Amino acid sequence: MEVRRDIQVEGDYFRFFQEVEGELRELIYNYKKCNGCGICVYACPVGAIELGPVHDIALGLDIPPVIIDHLKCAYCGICYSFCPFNCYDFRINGENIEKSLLPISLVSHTYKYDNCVECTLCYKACPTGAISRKVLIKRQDIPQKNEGIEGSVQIDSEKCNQCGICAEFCDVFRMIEKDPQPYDIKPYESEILINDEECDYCMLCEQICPEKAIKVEGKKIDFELPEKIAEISIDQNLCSNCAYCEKVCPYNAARTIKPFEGDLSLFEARMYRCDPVGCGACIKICRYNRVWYVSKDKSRVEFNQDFCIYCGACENSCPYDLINVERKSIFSKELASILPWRDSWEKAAERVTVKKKVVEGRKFIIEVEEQDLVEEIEFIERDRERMRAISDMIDKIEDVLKRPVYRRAIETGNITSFEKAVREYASKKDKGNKKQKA
Amino acid sequence: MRTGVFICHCGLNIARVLDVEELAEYARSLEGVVYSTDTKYSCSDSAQEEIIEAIKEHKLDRIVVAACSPKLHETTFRNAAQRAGLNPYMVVMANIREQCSWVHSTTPILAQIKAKDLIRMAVAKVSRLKPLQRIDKEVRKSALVIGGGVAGIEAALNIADSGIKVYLVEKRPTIGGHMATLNEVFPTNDCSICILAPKMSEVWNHPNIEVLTNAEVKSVAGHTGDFRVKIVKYPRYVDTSKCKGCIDDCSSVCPVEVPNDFDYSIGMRKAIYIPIPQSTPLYAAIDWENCIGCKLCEKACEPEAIDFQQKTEEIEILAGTIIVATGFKAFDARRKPEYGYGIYENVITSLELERLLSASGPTHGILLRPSDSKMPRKIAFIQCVGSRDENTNRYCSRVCCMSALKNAYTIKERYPDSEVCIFYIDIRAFGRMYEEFYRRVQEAGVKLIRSRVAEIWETENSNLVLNYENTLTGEFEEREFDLVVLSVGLEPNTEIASILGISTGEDGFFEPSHPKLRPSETDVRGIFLAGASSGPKDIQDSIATAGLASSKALQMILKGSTELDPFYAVVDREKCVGCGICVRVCRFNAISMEEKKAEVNPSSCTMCGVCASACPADAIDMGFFSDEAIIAQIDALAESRKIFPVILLFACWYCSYGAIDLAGTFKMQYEPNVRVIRTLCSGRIDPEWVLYAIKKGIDGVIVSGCRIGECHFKYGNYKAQDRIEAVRRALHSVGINPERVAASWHSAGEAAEIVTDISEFVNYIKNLGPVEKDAEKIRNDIVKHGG
Repeated sequence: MEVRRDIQVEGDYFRFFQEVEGELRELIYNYKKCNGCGICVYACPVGAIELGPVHDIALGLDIPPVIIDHLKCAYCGICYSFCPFNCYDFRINGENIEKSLLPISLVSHTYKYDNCVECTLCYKACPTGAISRKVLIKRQDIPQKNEGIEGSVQIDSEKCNQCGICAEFCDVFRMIEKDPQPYDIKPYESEILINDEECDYCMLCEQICPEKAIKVEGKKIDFELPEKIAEISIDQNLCSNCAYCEKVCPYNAARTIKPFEGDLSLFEARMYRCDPVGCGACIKICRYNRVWYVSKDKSRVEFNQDFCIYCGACENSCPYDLINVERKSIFSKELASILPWRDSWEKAAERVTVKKKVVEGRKFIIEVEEQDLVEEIEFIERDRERMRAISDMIDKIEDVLKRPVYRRAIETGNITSFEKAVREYASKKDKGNKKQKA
Repeated sequence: MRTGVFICHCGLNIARVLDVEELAEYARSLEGVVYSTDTKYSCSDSAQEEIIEAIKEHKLDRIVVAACSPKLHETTFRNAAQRAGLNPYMVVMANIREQCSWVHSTTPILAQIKAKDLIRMAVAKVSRLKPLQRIDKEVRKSALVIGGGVAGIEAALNIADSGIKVYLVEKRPTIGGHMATLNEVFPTNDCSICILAPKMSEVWNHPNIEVLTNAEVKSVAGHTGDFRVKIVKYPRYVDTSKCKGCIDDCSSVCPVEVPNDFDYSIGMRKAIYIPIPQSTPLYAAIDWENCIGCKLCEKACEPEAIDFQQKTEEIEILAGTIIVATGFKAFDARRKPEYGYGIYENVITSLELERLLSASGPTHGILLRPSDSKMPRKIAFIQCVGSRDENTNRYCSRVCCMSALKNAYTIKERYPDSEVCIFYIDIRAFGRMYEEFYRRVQEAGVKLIRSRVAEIWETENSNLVLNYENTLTGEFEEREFDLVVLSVGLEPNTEIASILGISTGEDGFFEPSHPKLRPSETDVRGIFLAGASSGPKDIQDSIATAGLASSKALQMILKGSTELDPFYAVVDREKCVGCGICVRVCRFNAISMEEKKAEVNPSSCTMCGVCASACPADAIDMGFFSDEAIIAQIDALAESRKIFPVILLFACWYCSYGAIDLAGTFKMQYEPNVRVIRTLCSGRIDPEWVLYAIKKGIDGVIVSGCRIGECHFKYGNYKAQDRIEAVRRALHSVGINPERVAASWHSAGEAAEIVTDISEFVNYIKNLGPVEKDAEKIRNDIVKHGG
């Protein structure tokens, strides 16, 4: 049976495939998405995946963080099933195989609860862009307007939680955006700018503020706001389960289930080596979870474990081995039916947890000679005449063998006496033999 | 005479190289053949049914099956013949797989010619066979043997041969235990698997033994004489009724490669595998701990033997007695961190060394060290690792001294330049012939250093430095080696104790009910101990205790009887001249003179055939391996000798035939000029056959058998050796080149060696020219001797 395995590179995608007896299995790897966490390296049951130079990649080297041997690959989908960042796709005969249909798959999810007020905080804080907010209506879309009336707009800073709903609804309000940092994930400064000149004091903002923190003196326009003015949605495929949303949400309306539990720590005794300005590889590599930051005195890095999913990319990227990512447990889902190969999938999960690659064992290099199809055939004509001469001579030996006295000689180790007899017989004429036969 | 011929494709194993249809066509042209056909898998149930149908339909009175080695399926086809109402001994197999398609794949035209020769020879042989009767007797009671190592095998055979049904439960996919993985065994240094493999296949083919592999005892209920045992049989995921044991197709596509536990993890295997070439049963197994479910093997296996639907089964068996032969576990050398096992690559255990020295091991028997695959020159053995040690086990493991001496000797013998040192506390060479062996090892130049090794460290080039106290001089010394072998001790394997309700001793091994008077009995009546389950034992002692345990078990069961292949010697009183040579040559006292004629006692006869080939009057013959049948084979071969040279090889069933089979399993390519005729023992090879072959124009004859001193029948190959010498001298006397007759003595594991012998001989004969070329010399000699 022929098994064809090959690789194709198309832009950011590596397509590994195996063709055998009409079955096509494809493993598609998006290397730009991959952060080199190395979970697939541990999970791979055949040791086909190697980790690349993650430190250099963190600092900008544009190569795949993991290298997959397409000939060694078993096309089983374990790497796909355990990748927490969805860098892989797995297809059989062109059809995408859902992770949940594989014997064991990682479980991770970010939930949006019903008490969500559809504010802007989570989507602004989300490091991966997995959360989006669709604005359903804006003040500027509403034709009704108060003409020429005086009024005022005020925000009660005691009540306001800088959720940003007002600003995305009406151009009168503007939030001052800032980059969320692990030590302060708020996406806005606490001050909200109000542009009085634009305002027609329609009072709709009073309605939309979930904290009733806006006080407007003016005249309500004749317009009924819909129940929802915007909608938050989460793309689970992009989500890194960092929990920025969970932490930033003032309403406890977001909840993320992380695929691993564990512990993140630094080797404090060696931290003098850390070079957060020149290196900062951990900060750069952790782009999906944004756990790392430079300390205030700029001497070293610090982390906020709340956002960590213990993927281990930072550990791989640190050139000084200062980081230790310990996984304590893995949250996985098992297929209800027990398949014969369940054990090896469980073992893969175990390897991911303890960060051990599959044992590859000792291989001896033994030189094997290549075999060529060479066939030299010698057919010969047999010489009957000469064969007769041979046959005659053998007859003489056989005659000696028929005599118990010489046979006994052989069996008792006296071969010489037998040999002598043969020699005598051989030199005799044929008549002696005939007598013997009789 | 109505002969039927069935030619097997064995999937593509045979058909890839040979034109099977043409062979079937060819067979039809042979004398006596009235029916001939080809079949995809002749061993499959459906093909067997077809054979049975054909026998009935065409009124066949004998059949030839050209397929794999008779070691694999002779019993299968004999049983099929019997089901068709034929005498089971009217079946001959032509081995066109191991001896032809697998080993001559680079020369398909010559392979096809060879296959025809083999088939023609088989047809000739079957035409001369006579029906033989085996004795069948009823079996009622049963025994359970737990553990398929050498002790379990011996016990199972002992009981089964007495006519009692035996269930042999083995945890792993093959029986054979540790002994099957050893290279050689002391003090004779004979090949381990060669003496074990025949027993393994005997167990597998024994009508009274049911072998349950991949199985474990789950619970035992009932009582003495009536145990109800629940056995869990784990799935193999391979349908054994369909698997052909070819293994290449499935394992070559399997992407999962893991350390082979049968090589003690020093070699690699796939997730679908056959543990060792001699595995019994010879079926692939899927290792469910490592299979990832890619299903490539399922696609690759043509007979569709892969079956992922198999489930763990629970079987209940009823057994009158139970024999516990669970053996031992090797000490885990990681528990002695000072020796660096598991850290330094070139520190290995004695069991790993066995695999490195074994022809079927990961290096094909070449001693290489793990770090760089180079041949080590300086080798150290450290004794008592995990034995006689306060921190691990206090007891002596009894086998490590002799095993280290044996391996040191083998290394020294194979690589005379190497420097071998044994670091020992005391050498305990207590058995019969052991002390003598110890002396021999010392004389061979192995250095023995009485010492305690404190520590090992690794140098930059992966060499190892031993730091030790020389306990004779009292000094601390250091020495560098390329390879260090830790002689690991034997530890108990007694997890089953609580299930059986039998006790273990302080050392963890099973406790016999009396250490001196009842060494094989336990506190539970009806449960007996065999082999190393009751303490470290070497093979001799394991066999002895297995014998004891089985005879104790048999005492409790009513004695039945068993079946024997009726190949014993028979005297033709008409022909017997009363010379008494046979009485003299039989070392088993099976022949006596009655009224000036020889008489064989069938129950004492071991079927070696030494007497038959010594008889000057050809008055002694044997069933199945009769003079007439063998001569017919030679005639058939000589009938068409188009190629040059034509070489005939006589092979003994126990060793050299096995070696040639193994060469087939390994797909070693060799000269396709050789044709094999099998006998039970090289002692059966009649000097007249050799002469007859030359007379008929065979260009060269090889007589092969077990390594000298290792004959299955003790001395058969010594006899063969003498006879070849006589034949050679006789040929020389009449002017025929004596080099046309050669000998080759190899164990069943020495595939590479026998293949080398064959190829060298073929090339030698090529230079010598056809046999008739010697006729010129004869003419000259006769003139010289004065006519």
